[in-house]
Amino acid sequence: MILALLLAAATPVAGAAPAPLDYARLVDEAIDGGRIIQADAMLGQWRVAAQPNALQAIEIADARMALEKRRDEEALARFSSLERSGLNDCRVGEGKGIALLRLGRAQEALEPLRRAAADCEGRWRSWNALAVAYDEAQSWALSNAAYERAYQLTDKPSQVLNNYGLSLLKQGKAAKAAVIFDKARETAPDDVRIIANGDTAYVMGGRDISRRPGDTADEWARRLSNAGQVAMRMGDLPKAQAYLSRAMTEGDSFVPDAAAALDGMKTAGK
Amino acid sequence: MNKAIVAVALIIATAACSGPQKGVLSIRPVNQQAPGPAQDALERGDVLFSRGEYALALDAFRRAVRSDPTDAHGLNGVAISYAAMGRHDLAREFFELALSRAPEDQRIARNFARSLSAQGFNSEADALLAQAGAAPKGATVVARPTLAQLASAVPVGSPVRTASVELERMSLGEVRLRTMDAAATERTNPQLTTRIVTVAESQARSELTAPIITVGRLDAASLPKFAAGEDVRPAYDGLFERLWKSMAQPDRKGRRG
Repeated sequence: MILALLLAAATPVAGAAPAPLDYARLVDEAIDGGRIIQADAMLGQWRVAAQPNALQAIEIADARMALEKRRDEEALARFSSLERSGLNDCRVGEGKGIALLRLGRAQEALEPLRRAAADCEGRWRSWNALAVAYDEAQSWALSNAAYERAYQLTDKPSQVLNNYGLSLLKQGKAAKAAVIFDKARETAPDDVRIIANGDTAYVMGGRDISRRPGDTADEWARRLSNAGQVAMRMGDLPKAQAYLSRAMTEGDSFVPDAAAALDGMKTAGK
Repeated sequence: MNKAIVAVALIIATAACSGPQKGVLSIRPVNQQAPGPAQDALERGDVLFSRGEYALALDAFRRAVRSDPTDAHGLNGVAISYAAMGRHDLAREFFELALSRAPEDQRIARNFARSLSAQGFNSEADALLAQAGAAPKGATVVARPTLAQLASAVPVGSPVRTASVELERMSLGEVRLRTMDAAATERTNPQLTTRIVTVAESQARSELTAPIITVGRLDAASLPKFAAGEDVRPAYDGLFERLWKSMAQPDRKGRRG
C-alpha cells in the first residue's frame, strides 16, 4: 500500500481550463458517502460561488448536513419547510422520515418514507429507514422486505445488517440475529455498536461471548458488563453475576456500570 | 611540565568550543515560520515521502498546508503521510479536505480508497472510486446473497481452544476448573466449580481444610440434540474430580499462608 501511495504522491496535474464544478452533485455524493468534512467544506465554497437558481439545492444540502450532524430538530424543520414549499424531491421525504424516526415519531415517519422509497427505488437509505419504521410498527414481513431491498442496494452493508439484526432480536430470533451480527462484523470489525449488539444476541441465544484478539482488557470488561446486563434483563441472574464479576476483575479500570448492576443485584437479593 | 601539558589541553579544548558557528539556532513559534514558498515545502515533502521518510515528509507537507491551506497537493501529502504511518484516522480528515479542494482528482480518490481498504472498509472504498470515476475497468459486481440466506446460515462455531486446562472465574467467590478437549464442544467439557477459600477463612474455621467442591455434572436436557446414531455421551470421566481431591488432601497440600 505504501508503494502505491508513493506512486500516487506526485503533484496533481493542473488542468488547462478548469470547468466549473457541479457542486450540487459533488456535495450530495460526499454526504451519501459519509464524508462530512468534505461536504461541509464544499458547501462553504458553493455558497460563495452560488448562482440564484442554486439556492433551493443549497437548502436541501443544508438540511441533509443538519441530519448528518445529528441536529435532528433543525433537520426536521428544514425538510418540513422544503416540503411545504411544494418541492417534490426524494431526499426531502427521506430526510424528514429519518429525522422523525430519530425523534421517536415512527408512525409519522412511515408516510414520507413510503413515498420516498416508491419515487426513488434506488435509494437504500429510504428503504433502510422505512424498514426501521416498519419494525417500530411490528410489521415484520414488510420490514424484512424493506431491509432486503436496502441490503441489495447499499454500499454500507454493515449498517443495514446491524439494523436487520436488531429487527431479528425484536422478533425473538436471537440465533439468527447472532449470525447477522457476525456477518456485519466482517465488514466493520471495530464498530462498537455492532460488537455490543452481537454480544446481546449471543447472550439472548444462550451462547457465551468470547474475547477478540484485538480487545484490550477494558474493552473486554465493557463487553462483559454489557453481556451481564443483558443476562440480568433476561432474568438469568447466575449468568449475569458471572459476567459482571468478570467485568470487575478482568478490566484494567473500574467498570461503574458493572459495579452498579452487581450492587443492584445484591440489593434485590436482600 | 605537567602544568604546561594541562594548560595546552585547556587551550585546545577552549578553542574547539569557541570555534566559528556555521549555523544559527533560533526558536520560533510554529505558526510563525520563516516565510518561504509553499512549493519548496511540497517538493521537499515529495522527495522525503519517496525515500520513505514519512514523518519528515509529513512535517514538510504540513508546512506547505500552513502556507496555503487550500492547496490540494499539500493536503493530499499530509493524508498519505499519515496513511503510510498507519494513522488512517488522521489521514481521513486530510483526504476529505483534499477532495473538497480537488473533487475530481482521481489520484486523491484512489489514495483515499486505499486507506479505506486498509481499514477493511472495502464497500466505502468501492463507492468512492465509483463516484470519482476511478473504479477499475472490468470490475465485476458480485451479487450479494439475500438476508434470509445469511440469517439461515449455520452459526460459526467457537474457535478451537488448545489449552488442556482452564480456570475461569465465575463470580467473586467462585472459580471453575475445566478441561479443554479440542474435539469436544464446550458443553461437553468436564468441569468442577469450587468456592474460593481464603487463608483467613480457613484459619477462622479449622474444620474447613479444603475448598468445597461441587462437581458440575451435565444436565441431559441442556445437551445439544444429535441425529440418531451419534454418540451423545459426555466427555466426563471423573479425572478432574480425582485430581482436585488429590490436590486437596491435607497431608499433601500442607498449610497455606
